[in-house]
Amino acid sequence: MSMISIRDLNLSVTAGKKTTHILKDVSFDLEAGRITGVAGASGSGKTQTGLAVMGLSPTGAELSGSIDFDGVELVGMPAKQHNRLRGVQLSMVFQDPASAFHPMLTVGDQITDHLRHHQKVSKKVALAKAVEILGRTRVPHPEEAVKKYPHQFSGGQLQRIAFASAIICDPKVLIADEPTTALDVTVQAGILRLLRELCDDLDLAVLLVTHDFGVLSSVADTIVVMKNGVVVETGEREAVITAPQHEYTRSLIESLPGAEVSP
Amino acid sequence: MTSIDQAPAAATAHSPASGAPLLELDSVACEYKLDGGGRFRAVNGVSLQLGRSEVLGLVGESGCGKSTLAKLICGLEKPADGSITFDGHPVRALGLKKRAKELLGIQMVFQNPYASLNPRRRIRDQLDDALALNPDGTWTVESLLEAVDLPADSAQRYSHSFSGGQRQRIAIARALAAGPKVLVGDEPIASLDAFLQARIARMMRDLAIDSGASMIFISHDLSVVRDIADRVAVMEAGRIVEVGSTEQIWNDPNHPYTQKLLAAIPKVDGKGFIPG
Amino acid sequence: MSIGTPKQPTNTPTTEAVRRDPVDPGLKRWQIRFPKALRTPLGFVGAGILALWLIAAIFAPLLAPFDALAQNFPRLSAPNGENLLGTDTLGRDVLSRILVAARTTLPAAVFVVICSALLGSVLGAIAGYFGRAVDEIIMRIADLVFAFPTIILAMVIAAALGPGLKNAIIAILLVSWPSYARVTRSLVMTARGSEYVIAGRLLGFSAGRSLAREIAPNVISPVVVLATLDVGSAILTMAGLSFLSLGAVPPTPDWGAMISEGVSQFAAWWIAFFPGLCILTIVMAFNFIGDSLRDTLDPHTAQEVGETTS
Repeated sequence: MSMISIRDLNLSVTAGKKTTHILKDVSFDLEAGRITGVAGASGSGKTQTGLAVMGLSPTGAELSGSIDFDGVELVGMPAKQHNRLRGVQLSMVFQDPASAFHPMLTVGDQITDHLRHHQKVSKKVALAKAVEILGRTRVPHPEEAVKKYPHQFSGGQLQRIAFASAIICDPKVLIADEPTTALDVTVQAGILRLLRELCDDLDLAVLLVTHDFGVLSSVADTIVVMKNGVVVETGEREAVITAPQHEYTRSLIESLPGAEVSP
Repeated sequence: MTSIDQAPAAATAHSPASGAPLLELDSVACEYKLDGGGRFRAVNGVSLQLGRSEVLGLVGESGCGKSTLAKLICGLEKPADGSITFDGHPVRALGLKKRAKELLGIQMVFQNPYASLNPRRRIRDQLDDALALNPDGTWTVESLLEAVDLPADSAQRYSHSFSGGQRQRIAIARALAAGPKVLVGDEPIASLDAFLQARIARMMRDLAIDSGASMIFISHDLSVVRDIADRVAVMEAGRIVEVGSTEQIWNDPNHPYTQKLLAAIPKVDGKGFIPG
Repeated sequence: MSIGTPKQPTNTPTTEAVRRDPVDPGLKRWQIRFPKALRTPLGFVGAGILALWLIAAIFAPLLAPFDALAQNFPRLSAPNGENLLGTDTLGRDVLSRILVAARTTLPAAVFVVICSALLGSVLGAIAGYFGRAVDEIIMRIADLVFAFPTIILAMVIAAALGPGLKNAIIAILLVSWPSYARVTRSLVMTARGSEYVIAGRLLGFSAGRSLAREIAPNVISPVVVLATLDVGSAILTMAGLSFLSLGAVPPTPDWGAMISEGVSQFAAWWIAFFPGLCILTIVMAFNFIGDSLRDTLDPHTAQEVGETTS
């Protein structure tokens, strides 16, 4: 059974008299232990899909359809209840690691904050767990790292710390929104490898939002292509990339330098 | 100024070896003062030549000094050492002065399309400013917009009604309107969708070469640079570690850093292989 | 970046949407928001009060029931059928004096604010754009002015120049320009480093042209907001100076001077109360309008849903 099953998800935002439909009948599944990559251009609604799962849709947004999380319906769930899932069972990593951290708090405080809040563990236990998790995400010298501040790390290391923060409460679902876009290409590979490992080892259901087919080609198991809020194609990685069925997917892949699409 | 007239002549002088280079950097260095009191050499002993009608790709990772180099070429930073010569004229730091006429042939396209257009002025006014520099040119606001694939009514609008890619095309049009001999693109595609990057990069190349200009295209993305550049310079920690023809750099890189950069590019082949 | 109505501008496989969404995420606020600026409830109230005052000031000679200077009535009579707001210590009609005073106070306040906004923002723009020594000189003078409480410094200047409306205006002008200089300076410093200004300089713009064409349109709205909010305090300062006999010279009617006169007449509350009410309403009106302008012009508060990233 799927960990997350999104069915006919619609999202519209009303500002003044004008209503904008951001998502139209979006349906796909996230499986445990698999990376589902959502590709699309700016404005295709790929980020909003991830945010909808997290219950972080913009104010004034109207959400309908169904997001089934392991038997629990997330659409229409009261905010308080969603809060209890968010950060614990559902976690998220953002694009820019530099702005994802509070500059004045130590890394150890920040990645254990939600752990202490949700699981009521002591600070000492939390820090021990933080060291363990930072080691797992391959942040160098975890014992010292927990005492440092975000500006003392490079972008790639910060993204590893962000992943540590995301998995510290043993989540079932991880949403990674353009996790490598702000990073250099040599750092990107390391983060992708980490994502793959975490997914496999922790049996995470991963939603990877990206505009980069190179990234999808490297780590995604399933690819969902979105355009203007509509899913135009869903399929296995290799099939979608080498033999895209939809004209739009084909045009996206052909627009990339060095892509190989079978005619 | 009359760069278009030079196009046929320039096409024959394709190789940088023939004749004096259009732009020459001779062991250029640039330093920043650090908060702690020390100095940081962002650019260190860089020597480069750019020929006529040539596209030079400059690649390197963030913090390697490639943007500082772009600013040096445009006179927006003061070199701590070395000299930059454009078409026989030394490039001096701009400071607060009005830019010298003979240096107006160097124009730049910036990284952030959301900051590079004036939000409170119509597109037409901004293009007109640049066209005024190049009275002998054949461009008009309409032909410029057509050249960058934008509808003619864009001229009457303000930048906020355009997407990032469209804004970047307007910025390219503005730089072209001035009739540049050297077009410097400082990560002009970095903030665009992957699907747009190659298209905008090719558009920049075609427009620059067609108008008889040369281009320095700065990017962290080797695969796009491979697509459009004649020569590639690889930069690491303030130094140029390797310069060569695009073919040579791509197929037979000499420097280990270049090899590392190339190996890190994920292939779009659907094989599920993580590079590096 | 934005969710727009998709439209393919060309036949190439573009993935961009031409953004024509009415949810304006951008910066054309000067054009499209200005008329809307007063549509917030408080802005509407403020504009209404101000409009009433403008009518009162313009038609004061027709509206004023009596001669503002004539001492024709019994001294200190409470509001009654004939003198609706009572009479003052010299037997002058308070209502008439209030209306006539509005004719000098309002234009004087607006004038002084426009002058100080112009002076302050020009100096601030020069300081912000050129930096270094120019910046130091201008901003240290501004700091010097800031070091004193506004009303005290205005008093000193007005006292040195001698009483009179003109000197009060000069005094207020001299104490109020630094706030504009500070705001404009920081805005110009930010704008100066932005890429569109640099692009203009690469096109060979001179400093003056850069400032006037590229920077000014982008920094003007906060200055306008500040100026609107400042009209109220200019009126207060002017009233304060008149209260201390450093403003309008008697017998010219003036709200501050009237309050000053009323203070010594506790029993005759109406002498001070009604001019005080005038100052209160008009300062409130300008503050409402200023707040409303700020809310609609400020990119942070004016932001609506629609700039959601994707």
